[in-house]
Amino acid sequence: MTMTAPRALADTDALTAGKAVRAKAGRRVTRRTTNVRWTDYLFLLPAVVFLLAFAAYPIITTIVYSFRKVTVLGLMTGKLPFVGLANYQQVLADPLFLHSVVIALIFTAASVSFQFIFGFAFALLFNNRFPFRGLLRGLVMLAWVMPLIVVGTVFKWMFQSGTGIINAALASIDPSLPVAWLEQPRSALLAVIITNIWLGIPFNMAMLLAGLQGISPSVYEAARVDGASTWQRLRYVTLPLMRGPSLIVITLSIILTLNVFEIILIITGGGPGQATTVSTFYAYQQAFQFFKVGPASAVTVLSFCLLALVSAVYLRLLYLSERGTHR
Amino acid sequence: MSRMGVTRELVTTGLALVLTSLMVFPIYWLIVTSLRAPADLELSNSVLPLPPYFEGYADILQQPEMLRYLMNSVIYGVAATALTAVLAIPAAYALARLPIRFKTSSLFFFLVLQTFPAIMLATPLFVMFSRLGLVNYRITVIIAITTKTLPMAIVMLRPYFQGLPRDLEDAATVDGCSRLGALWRIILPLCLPGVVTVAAFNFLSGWGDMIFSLTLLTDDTLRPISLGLYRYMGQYGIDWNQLMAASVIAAVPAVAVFFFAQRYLVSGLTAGSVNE
Repeated sequence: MTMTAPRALADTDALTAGKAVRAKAGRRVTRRTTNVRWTDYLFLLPAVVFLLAFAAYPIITTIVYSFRKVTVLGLMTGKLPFVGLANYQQVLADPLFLHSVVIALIFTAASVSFQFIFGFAFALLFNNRFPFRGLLRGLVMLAWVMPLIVVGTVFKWMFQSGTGIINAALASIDPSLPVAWLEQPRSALLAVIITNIWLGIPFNMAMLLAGLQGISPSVYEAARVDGASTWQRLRYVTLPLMRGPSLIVITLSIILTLNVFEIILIITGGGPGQATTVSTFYAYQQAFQFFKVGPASAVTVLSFCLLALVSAVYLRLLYLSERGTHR
Repeated sequence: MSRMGVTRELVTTGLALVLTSLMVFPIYWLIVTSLRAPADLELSNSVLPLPPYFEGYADILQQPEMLRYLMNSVIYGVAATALTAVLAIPAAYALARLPIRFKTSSLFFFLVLQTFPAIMLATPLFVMFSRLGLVNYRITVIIAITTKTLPMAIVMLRPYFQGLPRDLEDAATVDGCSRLGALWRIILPLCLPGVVTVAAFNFLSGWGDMIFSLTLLTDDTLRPISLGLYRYMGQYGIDWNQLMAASVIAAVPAVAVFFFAQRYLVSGLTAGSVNE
């Protein structure tokens, strides 16, 4: 570990000739190359092997299982008969699955749009200079690092119908306003959406703030010289320039929100009834509560397809923006 | 500053204070509830927990299983962070610097895995680990968490390595370092802010994990604090005061790590901008 050759050994002529003196006591002279050495692959290999074994392989087994009849006994003996599209047919014929997709879409659309709106508002605000800006921005970011179990527990407590602060606040405005939040289908869905919006604001803010700070001040200066008002600068300078970052943030938020699971589990457990059962929660129930691994795998594959579509959009946008900045 | 500038700054500051307060309120309410006697919880319209009531914390910290849950969370957080670092640092370095093939396809592979939902990996991982007889081992949860943190760590670390001047490694190689030696002794210390930031976020993922410990463990003695709290909440007649006290304890390491990493994050960003 501590072997270092004296600097004097590095003669410049050898360097320019593509040769250098190597470590082993400075005696052995080898070709110093910028060519590929097989040892270079050893840097990348462990990570790739790890992810192939523990991420790619499970994904492939999921795809395989989605076409097979999987039972506990079958998993032990390795006999998993091929059943074609039966798992898919079973899932697609289940009204509960279709319901969970609709709930997931409502959940995602509402969460993503409000996360973006509030995140953008915070980003515009924190793009100004004012006292305590760093501290306040740090406080907003706190929501991002709170463990999900803590967030879920607090919001569940705030949404309690009897002792919750939200109903207490509503009652102080008008006694008829309080709602049995988690006991009714629509309000329960609204409650988990509100929680998820809160969770997503910091991420949206941080990404959009980075985008805003990337806009050159000279652009604003030019607009100011031309006599543009604050509103006009926002409308005709900021918003058009934020198109790229916004699209990336929205796409990422869609991916993240389609994957939401813990918050639902903690706050409503998918209920009341099935009111907050999003598709990830449906897949979880199929696999871990009813041990229907085949249908659960089919749900997972269907969700992959949807996610792959959104991810393709994300990667494409990322590629375009990287190319844009390097131009 | 002009009078209009001052007014503008006042309005901005006021607006920021109001909106941030609203945003932080749930965290404030968590702390307030943790300091309020169970009998006072019904009167939730008073905004201050006076006099503060510390019995909730005392009760929680006297429960041996709560301490065990916390200890397990520390183990999962630290172990997943270490495993991720060992695998991600060389990989990110290779993608940033070494003249190897398959760079783009590897990066694509990591980017795709980064967007992959944990809950969808849970079922096949459970099946795989059951067949290997590894359910109810800590290592399974650590591996599972690393499948989520590793792709993210590689994607996040790569730009830090790219930002360093190439001459540094050349000088190190000339001085007789192997590539691994150059990475360990020259590159890594210079990228420390980046590495620490990424490690901090990995620790948060491991500390807060719920999905993998929920699906891969049935032994209560191996469960982390997230599941401890979840099960506590499922019991009949929740003591919200105690639950909130336990939640605050579960949140403290996350918040501490965040503020610690935020400092590094800022210095890392400014260092990057000076280099360019």
